[in-house]
Amino acid sequence: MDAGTRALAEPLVSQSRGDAGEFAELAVRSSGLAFRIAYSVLRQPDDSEEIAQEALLSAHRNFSRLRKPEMFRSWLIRTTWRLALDRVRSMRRRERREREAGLQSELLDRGEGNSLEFRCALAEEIERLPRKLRQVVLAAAGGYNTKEMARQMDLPEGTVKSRLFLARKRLAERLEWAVEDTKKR
Amino acid sequence: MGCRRYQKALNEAAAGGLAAERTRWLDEHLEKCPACAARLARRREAMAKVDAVLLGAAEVNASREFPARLQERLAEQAATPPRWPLVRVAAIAALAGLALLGIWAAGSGRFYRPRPAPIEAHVSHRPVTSKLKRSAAPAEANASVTVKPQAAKLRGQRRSAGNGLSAADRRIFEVAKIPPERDAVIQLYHLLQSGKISPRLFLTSGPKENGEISIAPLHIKPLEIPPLKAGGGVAAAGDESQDAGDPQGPITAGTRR
Repeated sequence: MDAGTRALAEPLVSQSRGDAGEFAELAVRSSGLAFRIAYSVLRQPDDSEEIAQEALLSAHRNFSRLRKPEMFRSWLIRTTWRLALDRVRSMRRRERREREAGLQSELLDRGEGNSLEFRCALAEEIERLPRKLRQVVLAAAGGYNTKEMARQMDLPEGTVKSRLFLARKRLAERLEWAVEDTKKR
Repeated sequence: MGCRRYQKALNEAAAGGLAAERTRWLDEHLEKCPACAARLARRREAMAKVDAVLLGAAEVNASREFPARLQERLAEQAATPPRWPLVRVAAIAALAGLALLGIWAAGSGRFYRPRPAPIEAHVSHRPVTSKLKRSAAPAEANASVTVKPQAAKLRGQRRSAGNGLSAADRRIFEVAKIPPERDAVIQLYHLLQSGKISPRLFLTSGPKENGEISIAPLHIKPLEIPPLKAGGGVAAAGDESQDAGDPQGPITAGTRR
């Protein structure tokens, strides 16, 4: 297994394939991670819990078919991320429709200072990042610090730091327009 | 303005990773260039927002009830028998639809027409002329002529402008010029005339040694065929054209206008 694909591996998981009780325990242990990933995009606790639950239920359904169970956490991060991205996109569509209809959308008030438009744009830009950079960004969103990431990805901490720096720099460059756009409104 | 060479430094400064020496160099430029200063401010703001979104989530936790609720839902899901995924159902429905379409297409003959069954007719061999008797191979009495209709590959063949005959029509005459096959060709004409095979069929190959003739559908008018003589000969118009020195002369069994 190369360093890139060993991201967030959890060796204990390999023994729990197919066992419902063990999976439930694992799911509860990983629920915080799934919640934080969803929350980084949605910024709304209820929605984030719903997405995290959906991701874990999906994991439960498909866990026996997972080819590399030790990659469960990586897989969970990715699944949760995708579901959260879908949700934020649908929220943005709804918000646009409501704005076009002249309604004050309740969705605008959510997001703790970051507009829905900006969060959606950020999530889409993260999706466009190269895999290596996206991995560290998502791990950071999931609450891992660089030391933990370095250990779990089997990379030097300096490499993780530089990847994270590069990813943030790239995201800031690409989202400069979004800052301008937010100011105009 | 020479601002381009500061772009990389601007990006690094926004991300907080610019060395002290390069920071001073950039600051000197920013004092003189309000456009770059504004760009740096925008980029710093974007970076702060990115960090707030990415790193801010790390301090937030799900509600206390969430793990219990999750366990409950997992137990519910484990108790429910697995349902077929929608994709699988859709794939099976699509396959069934395709199979039905195939059956319908085969039944309607839209994409495939089965080859018609061979028409068999028992005809007796009769010599055409005395000259032909000499030149032709010994004839078998009561030879069986099997007519195998072929696919309509000659359908729609264009007529040539010259003599009003299509290429397919001309082929009939070419075949008819060969004496050993002459009888079989005449038999074919008689099959056509007697209505045992359709006048819209056309000879494409043969006759072979076993008397097999392949024919294909063609839009041609029935030819004028000389009647068979009671004594076995054919009162063909071709008889006139076959003089003594030309045993392989063409059978002008009929002409078309």
